[in-house]
Amino acid sequence: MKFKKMDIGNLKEDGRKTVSLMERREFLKIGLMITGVFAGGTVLSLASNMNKVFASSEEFRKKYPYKPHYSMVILEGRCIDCERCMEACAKTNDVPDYGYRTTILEKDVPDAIGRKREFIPVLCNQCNNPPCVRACPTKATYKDKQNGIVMMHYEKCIGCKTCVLACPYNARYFNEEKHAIDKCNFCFDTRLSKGEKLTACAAACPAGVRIFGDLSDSGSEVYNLIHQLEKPVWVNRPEVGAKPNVFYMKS
Amino acid sequence: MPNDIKPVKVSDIMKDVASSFDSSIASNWYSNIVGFLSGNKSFYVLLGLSGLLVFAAAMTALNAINIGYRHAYGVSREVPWGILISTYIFFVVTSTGLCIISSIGHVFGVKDFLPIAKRSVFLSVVTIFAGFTVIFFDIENPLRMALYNVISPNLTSNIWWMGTLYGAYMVFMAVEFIFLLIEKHKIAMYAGLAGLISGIAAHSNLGAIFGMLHGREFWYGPFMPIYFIASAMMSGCAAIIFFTWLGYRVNNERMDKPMERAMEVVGKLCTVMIAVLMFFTVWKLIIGSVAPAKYEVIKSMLHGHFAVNFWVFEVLMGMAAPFVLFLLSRWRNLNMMFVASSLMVVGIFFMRFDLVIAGEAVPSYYELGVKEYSHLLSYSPSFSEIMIVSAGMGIVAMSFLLGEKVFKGHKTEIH
Amino acid sequence: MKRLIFLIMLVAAAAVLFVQSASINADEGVSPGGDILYTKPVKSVVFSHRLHVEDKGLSCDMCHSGLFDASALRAQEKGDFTMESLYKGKYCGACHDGKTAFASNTQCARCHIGVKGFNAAQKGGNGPGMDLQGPKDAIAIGAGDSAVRFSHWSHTKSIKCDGCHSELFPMKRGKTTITMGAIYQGKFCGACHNGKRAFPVGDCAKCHKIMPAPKEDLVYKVKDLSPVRFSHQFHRNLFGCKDCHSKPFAMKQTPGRMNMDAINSGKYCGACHNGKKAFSAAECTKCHIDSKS
Repeated sequence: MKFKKMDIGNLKEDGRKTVSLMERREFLKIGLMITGVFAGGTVLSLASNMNKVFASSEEFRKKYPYKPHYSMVILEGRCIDCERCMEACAKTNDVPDYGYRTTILEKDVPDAIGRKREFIPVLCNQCNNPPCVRACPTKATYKDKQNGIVMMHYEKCIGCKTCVLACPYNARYFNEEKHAIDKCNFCFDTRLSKGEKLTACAAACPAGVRIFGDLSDSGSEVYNLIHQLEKPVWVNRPEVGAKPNVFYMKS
Repeated sequence: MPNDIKPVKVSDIMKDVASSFDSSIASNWYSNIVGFLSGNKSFYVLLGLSGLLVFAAAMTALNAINIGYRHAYGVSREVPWGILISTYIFFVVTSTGLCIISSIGHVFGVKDFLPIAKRSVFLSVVTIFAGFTVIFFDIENPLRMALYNVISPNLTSNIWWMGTLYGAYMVFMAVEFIFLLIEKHKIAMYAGLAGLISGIAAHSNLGAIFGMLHGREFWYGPFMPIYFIASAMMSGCAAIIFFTWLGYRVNNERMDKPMERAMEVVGKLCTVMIAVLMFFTVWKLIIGSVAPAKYEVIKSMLHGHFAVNFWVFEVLMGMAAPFVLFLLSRWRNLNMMFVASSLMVVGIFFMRFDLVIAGEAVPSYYELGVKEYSHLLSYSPSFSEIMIVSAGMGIVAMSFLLGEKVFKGHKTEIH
Repeated sequence: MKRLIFLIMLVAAAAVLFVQSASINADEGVSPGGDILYTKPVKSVVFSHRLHVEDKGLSCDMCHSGLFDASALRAQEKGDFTMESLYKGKYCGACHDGKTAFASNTQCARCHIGVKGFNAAQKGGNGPGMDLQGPKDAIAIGAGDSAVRFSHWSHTKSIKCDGCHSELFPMKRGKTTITMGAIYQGKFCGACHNGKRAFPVGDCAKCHKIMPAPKEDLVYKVKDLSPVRFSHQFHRNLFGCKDCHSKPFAMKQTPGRMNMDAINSGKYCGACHNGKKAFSAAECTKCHIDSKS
């Protein structure tokens, strides 16, 4: 992202009425950047405030800083905890039995009418503002500049485990075989970079829980699921402000 | 670096150092050995015991490396930091505290603090070394750290700053000690100042490691760095009283007037710092009790999993009892002050443990209400971890005992 | 082919021997036993008999007469045990269609308890099996004095539901036709009550507390001679069932085999009617009553 230089002196001299549409757009953009609202977790409020914030839907689309901007929508209500995603993940990425890159959490709601059980798949949220990346002393974990995946340089990891604590999503574990922290990277090395379109977990899911795709592509399923106001979309732990790229819907 | 601050030629200093070194240590090596051998029986028993402890712990540590830390330690994915980290913090808190308190004398020129300087600086080097030893066995790839801290630094990382600054701190403090030893007080002062700055920076960064984890409610916020500095000063005072009293016992000497005066002012400062820490603790509890995510931990401290640690060790031994003892001693009864300070040393150890473990107790997905994370997480140290902690203690004990003999009670001439 | 013969046999036997239907009503107290945990095609789905039988009051035959075999987990061995089938009204989908019960394509995790649910059940010793005991009350098979009172509970001590259902006994209420003829052929009770796995059918009184010997005489038609009338009533007064069945008389009609040569050589009636135990077979008119010669 480039910040355009603004001439504050000129702005002051200009009357408010003379501020052109272009300038207003620029101003709004900068405002968004300053407040850190350009993608990820805050997209929810963006979708409902689209007209207020963006001059056009064209601009709305531009807010995703990565191309492709990999993202996953989890249709939580569909998950049946068959754990095929976990099996596929472990097999594809050599995940040892004492660790996991993705798992499924179980929530009991005894007071609910009908279904009293919910399964919530969790994985690395590939945050736009990743706490782990900030915390790592040696840049062993980093956010890929092109596709926004939070990846690992295994050889640089000193094993201090600060990133494990920094992660609000419990997505990291120490892998003894790799002698480094290991985490989900949307199967980038094992599948995406080899031309596969889906992550191992998304491909293995029999219930269509994990919808994976490019959020910057307006034709993608993830884009269409997130850019609607009919059904609620949310992220886990939004209060942390990590701006995750894994979204949740009921179904 | 002190050389940049002071307009002195490097070659002059080197010459100075060489000659001073000659006259003070190297030429007197035989007297050092004689001094060393002059200790009584219990001295050697203690020395032998601490040596044995370090040796046994080294074996355990080697075993832990061999079988893998995952099997040897009690830590887990959810609670990745255990007693090794808290002990590391305990040691570096003590070290930073020793540095801060001793700097009052020989950096800022408050005469009353001067007699304690040498021993404090020596112990600050020893404790930071013990801290590094302990954390060496916590970090999975400590050798990679040496390389990638240099060639791939992450300037936004508190760990990087903490590690780097403490590295520098240890060098500065060692340099300061050497110059104190050879009575080059001017250079020692600059080294001490550099050590103080890097130490405070490093220590507040250590606090910020916790304070900047925005996914961890219990730690998150600006409280941590401030708290760390304040508790470092408290720990430093306690450690000085503790070790100075012990030092005089080891050497079987009586304190002179300036030393007694030094103990008095350190004791008073310690009392003030306890009050400050009490103030911090009370507000931590009160603020935490209205913050939903912190409340669970506060509850477990008040009447739950951490209640014994909190009330008995942290509050009673760490603060309340010493505070009362200090007041009763009127800062003149050295024996009572020693009891107070030893209670504090134990209490502070648990304070650090609670700080680390309690902060990890709330699982990441606690608020989600899932079965897996419906309770606070717990951790108990394994045998290997306890042994490595003991090794840290052993290193400090051994170095302290040796230091007392080799450096003859860390006597300082007051100028 | 076997099945066709079986059917013909059934129809034929129905006319001869008692024909009654057994009816099982779940309300009479079925012990529902444990849950069933399906692990295929996905791990895992829970089915609670207790919920469906006790709480919802379904009778056994509502599900076990075409939708599900009475053998736990057999459904999941079939290739079509999928959600698609359910949506088409098969298996659970027969009721779980949104009308009778909540639709199959909603509330996924209500039935799908997942690997976690499976593991928890395994730990709790509630594995994928079942210990159903069937209806508490005895089932009346047949009517009147000779009715057999079948106890599910005494049988389910050693056999599971699938030992009898649905291959031997369909769970269709009121549609079961059990005949002694079929039993002798090894069908129904006869599958086990053959003297090997359980006491033989010859021990009539073990099941039929009041032995129902046929009241009407058996009539053996003989070519060129007057027919022979055999009175069960008369013989029953003197002998037990076992004395004649199944030797010298198998408990089925054996047309064409019985002739005077065989009888005279000590087979059939000749086993007794040899002039020693009973009058000799040579006294023709005693049996061939209306014989002209």
